Amino acid sequence: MKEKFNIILFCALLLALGVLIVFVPADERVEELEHRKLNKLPALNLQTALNGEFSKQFEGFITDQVGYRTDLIMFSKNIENAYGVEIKDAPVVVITGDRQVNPGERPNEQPVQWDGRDPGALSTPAANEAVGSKDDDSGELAESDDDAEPGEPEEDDELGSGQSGLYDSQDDIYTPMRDVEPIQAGPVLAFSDRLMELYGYLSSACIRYAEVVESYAKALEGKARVFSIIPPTAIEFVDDRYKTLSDSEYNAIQIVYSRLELAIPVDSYSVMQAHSDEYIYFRTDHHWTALGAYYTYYAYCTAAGITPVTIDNYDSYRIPGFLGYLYSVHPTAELKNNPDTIVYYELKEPLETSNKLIYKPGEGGGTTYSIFIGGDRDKYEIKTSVGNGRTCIILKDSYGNAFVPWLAPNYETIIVIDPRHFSGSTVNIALQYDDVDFIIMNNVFIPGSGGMNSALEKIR
Amino acid sequence: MVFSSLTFLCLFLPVFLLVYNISGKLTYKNIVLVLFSLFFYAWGEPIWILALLASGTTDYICGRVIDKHSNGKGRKIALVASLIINLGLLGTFKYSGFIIENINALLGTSIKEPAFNLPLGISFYTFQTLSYTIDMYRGEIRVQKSFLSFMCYVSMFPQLVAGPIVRYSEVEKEVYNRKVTLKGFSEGVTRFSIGLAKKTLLANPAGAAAAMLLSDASKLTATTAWLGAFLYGYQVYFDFSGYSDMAIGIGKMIGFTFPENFNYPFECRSVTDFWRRWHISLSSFFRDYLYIPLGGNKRFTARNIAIVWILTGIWHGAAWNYLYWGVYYGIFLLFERYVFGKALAKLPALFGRLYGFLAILGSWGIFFYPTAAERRMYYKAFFMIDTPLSSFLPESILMSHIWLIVVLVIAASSAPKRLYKYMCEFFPRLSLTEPFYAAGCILTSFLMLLGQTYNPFLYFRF
Repeated sequence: MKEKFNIILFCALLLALGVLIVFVPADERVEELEHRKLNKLPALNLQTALNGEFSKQFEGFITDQVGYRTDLIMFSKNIENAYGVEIKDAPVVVITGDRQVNPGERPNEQPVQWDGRDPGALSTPAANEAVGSKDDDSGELAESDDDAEPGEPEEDDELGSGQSGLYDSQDDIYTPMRDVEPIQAGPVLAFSDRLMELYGYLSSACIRYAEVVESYAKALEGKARVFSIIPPTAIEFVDDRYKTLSDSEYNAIQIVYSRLELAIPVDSYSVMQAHSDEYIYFRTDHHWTALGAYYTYYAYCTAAGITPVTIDNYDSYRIPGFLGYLYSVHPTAELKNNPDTIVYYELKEPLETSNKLIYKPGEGGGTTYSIFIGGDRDKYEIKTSVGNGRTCIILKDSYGNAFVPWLAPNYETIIVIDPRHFSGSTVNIALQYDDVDFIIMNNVFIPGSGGMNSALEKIR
Repeated sequence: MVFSSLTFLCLFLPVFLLVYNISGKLTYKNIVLVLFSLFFYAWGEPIWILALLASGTTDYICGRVIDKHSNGKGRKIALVASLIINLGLLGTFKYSGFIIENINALLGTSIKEPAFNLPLGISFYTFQTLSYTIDMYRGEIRVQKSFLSFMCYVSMFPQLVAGPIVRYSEVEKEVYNRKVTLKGFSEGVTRFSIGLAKKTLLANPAGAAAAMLLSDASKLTATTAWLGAFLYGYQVYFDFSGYSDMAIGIGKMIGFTFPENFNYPFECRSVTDFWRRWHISLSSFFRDYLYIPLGGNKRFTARNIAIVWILTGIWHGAAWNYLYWGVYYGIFLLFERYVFGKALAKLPALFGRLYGFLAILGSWGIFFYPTAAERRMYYKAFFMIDTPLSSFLPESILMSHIWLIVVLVIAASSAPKRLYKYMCEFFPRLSLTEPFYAAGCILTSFLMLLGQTYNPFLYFRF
């Protein structure tokens, strides 16, 4: 009797789980929560079957097909939370790995779908849905001019000293890896109100990165100035007590900068440090805020001898309710109740641009970090009405996205290139223009991991 | 394919059980088992199915040859052929890279290292097929004339990729005559469910924490080193014994009885005792097919122990650290045999337990770190030489895993089982709860598999 019941229960359970995967529709909310597209059924042909590609991606597909996945994951997070006790006011080290993301697929911002010509047609399915759904409960998503406090956007935020920031994609992070843990990715330090990813670097990767940057400077010597900007991330400015968890970003940046001869280093670190008690990093995302990018823009202008257009020439707008990528790694109720606010800035005296700098909600844009120039894409060209004949070419990871809008008043042409998606020669592009400033900007995770070195070399 | 995946749990296993059970005759069942096993094996890297078939075919033929030539040269040739081909496969795929690397390092040559991945489970199935031919040679088993039945034994997916190492003699009868009873199937269900829960609920989180603590050897403090080794040891135990449980469980569901592979190893009273309780099917393989033929306890004992433990070490992976790991245990075993074994037996059991546990805890640093520099840093921290006592990381991880640690310690002991049996004597109806906890294990494991980002397969190097 007991035996029969045991067997029946077991079989029924397996059947139910099978049904949950095969017949219950996939949980679309995953796209919003984890900032990625649902994994598709991998292509099955002789080649993918034989080289193991199919089976490798199949598990990711199956996992995404589970109905109510978001709710079920919350259950499992609760189980994991029950493994220990939380100490009041002390952060927790969250051990995390890659969420079965298909190779090449980015776990963070999906680029806005773009046909290359018509910026009006831009849309991200996930982002649009987010706009729709959130409009209903908050209605605050449109430009809330009342809140706009040009110059000091963080002051009336209830967010306190927000921090959190980071690199770009999981495969760009360096974490010391063992053979036994093929999918281990960066651990996160979780305070009750903010998350930040721990940093690690390889000296050899930093040195190689410096060499690659120098090779650009050499190729463009006499033709264009080449700048290297390496913004630090949030973990760098945390209390000393927790700094032992993470490698020094300062040291990693120094390894690169000390090796630059022709290329001009930009001291993003000092300005970010000076303003580290402001809202310069998101608390639930690995990116910096537009304000953080602004301070680095200021440092860049100083290094380049350009007159910066200061923040008091801008109006600020707020998009509340942003839960970033790190939240999907460690979703807690505290964070959900206390999400980030995206602040973006627009010139009081508008500048005409051929392509958008900000993809505003309701105007085909989203409510995530992808509002800045619409997310990562291979090449994005912006012509402005500045008319000074100057050109800026910027090779960047997603940190660059929030940085680019600040450059607009200083350049007539801005060409934004993401080395991970672009193919071609960027040096050749630069040679087509006179008076070019050539920027290579990546957050400190990129040189530390060496994750973009070969991509940067390929597109020189 | 691995057991702890949704593909296996929610698709492969139910479909297999269904097709297997609606196939009537045993021959059909064996065909189904072989086909599903080949699919299971081919999932991932289909090419290596050739290595599996090569090993299986070799020993099938060798067995037939030995059977035909009950005396004389033919038997020997067949045995040697099996040894050469199986160990050759293992040597080529598993050790050639390691050997060439060391030759290059030693002689300054630059021979190119082969660039292939290790075929999954090769260390398990080559040993299994070898055991068949050796047992045939020794006249301990009867020949298997049916290629299908033989492949059924060799390729059987439950134990194919992570053990236990099942000898042909142990399943000989069941290959052609087995029955699934309600009781057997039900026991299999419970056993499988517990194994899966061990892997997903205990091993993976313990392993994630251990990796977090140990991965950067330059940042270790004493507490980090100890806690890291502690969690890592439990990860390996629950991962490995969980896999064995799942294998044994699935075996029971289809009428096979596989040997037990673990017997509460952390309750050992000496290192010798530990290896009687840990990965039993491997240590008994080395005992029966290497240690005893070499002379066992009778002659050259020290030499025999040295050989067996070097090989046991390197069986775990083609790298120096695994070899050292084996040597570490070999040294303990020699000491226990020749120096303090008898004294240890006279001391209170608690002392033996403590000694055993510490000896094992001390071994993980060798197992974990592939480079000498990392191992040096690790053991400096372990023995608190020039390293701080503690830091924020281990304290944070200790607190965020404190209940897990309590559960790990209890679950690895025989206490829950003894308590359950004891209570069942007073409340016989308690055993009726079995289906519920089995189902609970499956359900929570499913949830963990969904949310878990750390779910390694530890046996890629075996």
